[in-house]
Amino acid sequence: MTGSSAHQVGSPAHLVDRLLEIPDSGSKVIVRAVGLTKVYRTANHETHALRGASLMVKRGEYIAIMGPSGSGKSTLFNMIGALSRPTSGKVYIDQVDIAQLDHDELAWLRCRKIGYIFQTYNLLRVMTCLENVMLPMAFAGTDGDTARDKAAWLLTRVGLGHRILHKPTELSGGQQQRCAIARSLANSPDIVLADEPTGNLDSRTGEEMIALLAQLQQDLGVTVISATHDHKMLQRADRILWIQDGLIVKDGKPSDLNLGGGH
Amino acid sequence: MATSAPASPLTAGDSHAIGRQPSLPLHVAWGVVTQGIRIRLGRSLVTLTSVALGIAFLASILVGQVVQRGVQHENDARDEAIRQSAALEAEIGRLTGKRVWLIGTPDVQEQRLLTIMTAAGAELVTTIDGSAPAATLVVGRAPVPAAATGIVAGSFTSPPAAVDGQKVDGRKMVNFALPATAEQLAARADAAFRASARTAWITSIALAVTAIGITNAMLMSVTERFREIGTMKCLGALGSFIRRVFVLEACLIGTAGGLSGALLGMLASCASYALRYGGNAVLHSTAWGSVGLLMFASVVVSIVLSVAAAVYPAWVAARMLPANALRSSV
Repeated sequence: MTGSSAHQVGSPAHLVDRLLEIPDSGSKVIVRAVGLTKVYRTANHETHALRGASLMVKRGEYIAIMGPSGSGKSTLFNMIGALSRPTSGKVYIDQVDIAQLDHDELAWLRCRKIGYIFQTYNLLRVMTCLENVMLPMAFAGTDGDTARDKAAWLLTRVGLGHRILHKPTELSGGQQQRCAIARSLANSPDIVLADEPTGNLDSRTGEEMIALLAQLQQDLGVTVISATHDHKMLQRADRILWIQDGLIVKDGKPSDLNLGGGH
Repeated sequence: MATSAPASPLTAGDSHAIGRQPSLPLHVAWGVVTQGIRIRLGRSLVTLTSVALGIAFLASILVGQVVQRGVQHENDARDEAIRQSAALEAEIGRLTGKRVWLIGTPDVQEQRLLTIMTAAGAELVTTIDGSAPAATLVVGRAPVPAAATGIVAGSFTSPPAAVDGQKVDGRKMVNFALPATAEQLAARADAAFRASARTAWITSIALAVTAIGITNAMLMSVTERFREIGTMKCLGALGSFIRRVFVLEACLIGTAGGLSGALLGMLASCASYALRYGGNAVLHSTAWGSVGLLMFASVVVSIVLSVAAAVYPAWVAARMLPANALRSSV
């Protein structure tokens, strides 16, 4: 990645202030994170993965969280997705402080509000594509026939209509990620969180995934937040959050950010 | 827009916008388990084989003890019959050519004695109605016929001392069911105690080995799937659902492994004793009721150990934050 050389490091404190100044206009804001820090402690040393990251995402946006390896992208992804707890700071999903939620409520949130896409797809190898997509609906208590119909529709929508009864191991990486995208949309979430969705794919397939996500974002009105260091994302995202050393140092439209790279 | 924005002016921390995940019915977990086992058949078979081998070891030790006891008991009884026949010979002279009337159905011990007596050359005459003529020897449970004269020998139980060697109605009564002496009783008790102590020691070792083997197999099969558990949590699985899936799976593997292991262990144990003592001896001298009971106990041990070993890692996994479960790989 060549991006890190060209950016200008802004004042983090200033950025936080600017973010918090934005009036929280009711339902417009779907995700808000304030002053997130995360410290991983091992026996010998502490790693500060996040040092006070704040961000705000509006409903229906396509956000790319970009930055070099080790900048804290995945950590931020885990915090926003309620997959891990911040050392300090708050995450609000749809105005709700997720630190206040108990296990059942967190499960509900992960099931209905958020759809996850991972670099390694994380499909259950023991299940067919159809069953993988049906699983979140089973957890939500959707009855079998409804879930089957919706799963088949979603798989067709992502271009896997002809592979619904295949196991993930019988599919290419791109096809597996398509299946994972269908799964992330199973319970019609408000937010789709993607962690390096193109990381394990070749350039062309990666581009297809980015286009598919952008299309679904437009057609279904879903909010897409993608942690990535794939510069192809620049052309599609509505807004880029540039993270470096655990801080969001740039925030703006792709055209406004001078991120260097090939663009 | 598929997202119909809830316009409720909720403040941060107010969780009314968030629902609670419903608990799934048992059949959903059952479906996940059976499907998982079927599709992961190779890996499931490895776990199942580990469990089965552990239980086979336990069952073979336990069943072996019963078979050994049976064979030992049979040998003791044969020794006793030989002693009895020797006592008879001492009393009435060589058995060769003597006629022995069998009255009624002989009990097991009388049968052994008859075998030895006929092997020594005595002639066996069977009467069904108990109307034995003047007899040299009478063996049988039925009341000694009044017509029987000469030497009457039998396993008189009451009162043996009064009958033994006495002449009753002109017949000389010989009791060959002589009670054991005090030294013999003490020696038997001592041997029994040693045997039971050895049995307890070997049984506990077998249990420990089995427990470690099964625990290891189940721990592995759960921890290697932490990533899968993390994924399921991301998709909205409740911790209770994950625990249920793994406990159910452990139950299934424990039952299948226990049944096949108990059968395998029993067969192996019986086969090895049959090679040493002969198939007939094992077949006839073993207490099969005890064998069945011990096999059942082995299956119970298998299920309990499997579930116990799966519960802890499943509990840990179900409590984990999804990010940590996803990160851990074996």
